[in-house]
Amino acid sequence: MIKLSSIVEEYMREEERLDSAYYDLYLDYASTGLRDMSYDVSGVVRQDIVAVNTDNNTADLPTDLVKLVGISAFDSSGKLIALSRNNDLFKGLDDCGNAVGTSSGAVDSSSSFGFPSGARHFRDGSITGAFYGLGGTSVFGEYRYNKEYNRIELSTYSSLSNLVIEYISNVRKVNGSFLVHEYLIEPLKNWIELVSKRRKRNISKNEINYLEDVYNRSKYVAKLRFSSISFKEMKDLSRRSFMQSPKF
Amino acid sequence: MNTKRDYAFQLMDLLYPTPTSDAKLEMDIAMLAISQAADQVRIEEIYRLKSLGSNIIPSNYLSTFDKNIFPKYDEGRCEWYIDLPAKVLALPNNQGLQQVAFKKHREQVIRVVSPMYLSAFKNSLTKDLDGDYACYIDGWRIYFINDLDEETELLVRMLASANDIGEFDYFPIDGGIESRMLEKAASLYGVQKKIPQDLTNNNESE
Repeated sequence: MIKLSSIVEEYMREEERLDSAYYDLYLDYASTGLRDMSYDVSGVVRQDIVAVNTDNNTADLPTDLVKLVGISAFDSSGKLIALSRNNDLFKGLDDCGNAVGTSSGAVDSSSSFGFPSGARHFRDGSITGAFYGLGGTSVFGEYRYNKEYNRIELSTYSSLSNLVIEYISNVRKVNGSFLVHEYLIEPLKNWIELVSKRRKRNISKNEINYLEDVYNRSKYVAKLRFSSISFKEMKDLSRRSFMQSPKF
Repeated sequence: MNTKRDYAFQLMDLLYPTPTSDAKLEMDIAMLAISQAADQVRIEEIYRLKSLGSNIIPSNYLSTFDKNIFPKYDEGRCEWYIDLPAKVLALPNNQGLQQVAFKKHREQVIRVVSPMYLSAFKNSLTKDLDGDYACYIDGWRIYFINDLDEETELLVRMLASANDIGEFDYFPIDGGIESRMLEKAASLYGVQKKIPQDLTNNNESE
């Protein structure tokens, strides 16, 4: 890993800029490039534990979340057990706009099967059926991803106190500095070149297109490098999945 | 090595080879003319080099100030500052102020930023400049964004206005542009040579 500032200094040496004029701008451009590449090239799925507010079964998501990948609970062996996503869940709001439980005013939707089939089988005041077969949903509960409030809302039959969220995050600093993977050095330098010129009126459209091509090509090469896999890694993966049980 | 005074003598010699009573160019004015011409030709030369793709300012054009430059604290603004040793020639993005550094730790960088840096970058992920120090020019002072102390001696390297350079100090110009500088100064002050003057106060030009 290499510091972002080192990449900017490297770029400035290539540009024959030995003083610090433009450094602040280039460093800012580099951080936006890092963000751009974290979406589809270098972004790793981050795992975090978030506490569930047991009063209303919601959990606030991290502010650096860009894309949610999955929500799970974990058992005593540390194995993740995914929760089911259900967009039909509802959390009411109190006068202050906070999520509240739905016990008051809720209809009794418990079925004779002892399975919480949920309100979705109530149509016009009558039970219209149930799930085909039983099960099919996570035993740990269901969740809804509320993008408006950036939180997870759990169904009332889940009694989890912690969740593991997997997500692609925005870029983060480590010990006050951005640390960048070596594969991203070239794309980042090309990004700085592109961003520092693309809004200038005296730069021709052709040159901007060329710089965009150069950046995209270097990004593609970085992506290939990230996704390459060694023969040994491949063998290890095949060993792990060599089981009699059905493959997933 | 020529100083500003030497060039001023040369200019006077060019304009008035034989000192006569009508020699209208005095030493102070000659030095001012040399300074203005020197600034102009240096800037032109830097832009010429930029047009060739080089962003490095020739070392010959720079002035270094490293004697007793200690930060002081501005109570009103709650910022540390130093007085500018000379006026900085304007280049894009404050490139005229080439380097502000700790005199004994010059590898520790102090970045030169815009005076609007704090507001312009307040929402930037890199507003702390990855841990580096930063300073900006404001009038006759260089202010620092970070905290310093009175004991830290600093060094300033800049493209200084030639007018603020002492007449016996190193004059930041080289042989490659000397003649252009003298030519400019002479063309500016050569005009007054042709103006008739009443030298003996008899209402006749002599």
